[in-house]
Amino acid sequence: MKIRSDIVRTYQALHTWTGITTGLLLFIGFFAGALTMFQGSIQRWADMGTQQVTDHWPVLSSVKTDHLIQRVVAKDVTAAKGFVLTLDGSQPPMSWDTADSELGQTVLKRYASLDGDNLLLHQSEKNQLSKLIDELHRTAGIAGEMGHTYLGVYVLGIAAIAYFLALISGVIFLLPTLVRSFFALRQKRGRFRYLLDTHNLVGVASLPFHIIIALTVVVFAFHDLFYGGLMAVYDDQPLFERQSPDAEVYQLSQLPSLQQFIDLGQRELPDYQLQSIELLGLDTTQPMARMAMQNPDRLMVNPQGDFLVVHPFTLAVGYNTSPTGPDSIWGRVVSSFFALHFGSYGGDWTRWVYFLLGLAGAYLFYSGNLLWLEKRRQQKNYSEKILRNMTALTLGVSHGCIAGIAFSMLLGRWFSAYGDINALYVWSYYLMFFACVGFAFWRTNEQLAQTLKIVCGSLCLLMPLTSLIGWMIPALGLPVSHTFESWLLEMIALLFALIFLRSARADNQLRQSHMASAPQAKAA
Amino acid sequence: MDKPRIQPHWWQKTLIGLIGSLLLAYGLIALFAWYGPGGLRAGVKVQFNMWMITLIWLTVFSFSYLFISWRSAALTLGLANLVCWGLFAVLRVWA
Repeated sequence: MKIRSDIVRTYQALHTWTGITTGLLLFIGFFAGALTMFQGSIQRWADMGTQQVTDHWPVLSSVKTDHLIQRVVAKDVTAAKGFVLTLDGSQPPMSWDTADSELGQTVLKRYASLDGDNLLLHQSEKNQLSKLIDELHRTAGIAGEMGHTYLGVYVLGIAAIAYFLALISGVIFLLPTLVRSFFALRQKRGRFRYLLDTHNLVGVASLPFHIIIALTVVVFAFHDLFYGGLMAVYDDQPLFERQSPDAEVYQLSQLPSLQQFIDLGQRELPDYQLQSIELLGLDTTQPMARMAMQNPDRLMVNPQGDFLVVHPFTLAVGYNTSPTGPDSIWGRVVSSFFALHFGSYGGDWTRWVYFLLGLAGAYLFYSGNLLWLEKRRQQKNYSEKILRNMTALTLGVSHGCIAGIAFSMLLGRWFSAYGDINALYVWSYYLMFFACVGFAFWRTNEQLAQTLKIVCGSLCLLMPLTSLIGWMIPALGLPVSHTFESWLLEMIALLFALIFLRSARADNQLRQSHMASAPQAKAA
Repeated sequence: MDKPRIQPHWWQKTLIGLIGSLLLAYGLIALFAWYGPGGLRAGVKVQFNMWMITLIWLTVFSFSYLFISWRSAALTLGLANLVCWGLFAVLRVWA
């Protein structure tokens, strides 16, 4: 396709600037985002043996559950504010937090079930590895709050605006050569060509995913501001019909039976399965019940499913994320944006695809930065200092993020048997992250990439190795995997380790050959 | 006939594109919200509208660098806004 050269040049410059300023933030968002697809599995792998509340709980009949609720709230006041009813046996039928939790602080979570007529109570520390990964995904690890949102969410929102520009500009300036070079993978024509070909292939192949992610991230960050602006257009009339507060607080004994909730779910979303009910603010005049409904054949608003938000005492329906009827198109389109961000459709297959798309996205940003560096090195008109700092930042941040997550997973695995681990998760991530970044600035030389890859590879390798050694020498008391899920995770960690270590070896060979042919040549 | 080349004008175009296309997105959605299908109070159309503002905004913004100069960017986006918001004002008063 022919495009005027001034357009191509303009959009090339735009792509370069938007890319280089936001790439590393987005790298963290994408790598951690890929892991959120399996955050439950990662959590279970890390805290194995310490979580007292395991899978496979007997599912109580709805009458028994009603009975359980009344017995628990009579006994434990912390449950009377709100609790979660789980209907699929993935945890005990009733559970609640004893206080609000922040990252790094440990909060007790309590669980209740019935065995015959006996009340069974458990409690466990809420293990926060998955929360750490989720917050890295949403904030890129930038601490601090602004208003009631994390500062990092706004930073990523701004980055996502630039990312949208980078996507459009990347496509525009690729168009003239797209047909010729889309499937070209020139391995033998030097590092720059190879990076460029893989960058273009990944970028074009996953373009729809990236456009959706950029759009949704901007909305997730700034929806309050956008609604604020819409108020003016709507003549300052309220945008949402708020449920007016009840005249007085309901008594818990007035709670409808579980069967009534189930029937309501059946009526409103007939092809869905009620998974859990979260009851909130039961001791206030604005109580709420969020009923999570699952149907993997639908585009569901998030991984928990679609939601039916109702008044827990009157069962008046407030909101439905999968509406039907004449005006339902608007809600359906909106829900589909959420679903396309979270990959909450099509079950496990989609989760794997999103995992790969997330990793591919991280590679897109990493390779983009490397291309920027290579190009400027070739042009030789850039200040050596800028190139050094950018090299250190790119290699340090990207490897630091991966090494940090791997390190905190490992520490969780090794030490969660010995007590509260939540603060350690957070500190170990930042420690490893800043260690890698610091090292990168301290030792910005030809060996840097190789060293950092060996660090990442070794940490990944330690995951399966711990199990292997623990299995061979039981006297050491190391944790050993017993579930398919854990084995799979360790196999994937092994795969990561091989990729890092092989890549480190390739870097080494490249460097040796450079040194042999031209002593003063600068390798990456 | 030689077409004039695109002038970079990075800062001006970024500023004009950012603000001009956001205003335009609001203008188009204002028309759509009041006079589009379903009217102002249809279901959760307001959420749909908010999403569309973002989509229109980012799309128009990313193509604003195609303008020959910052003047033509300001003129075109300004005019588009004027037409859009003018129509909205007329409809609101008259309808």
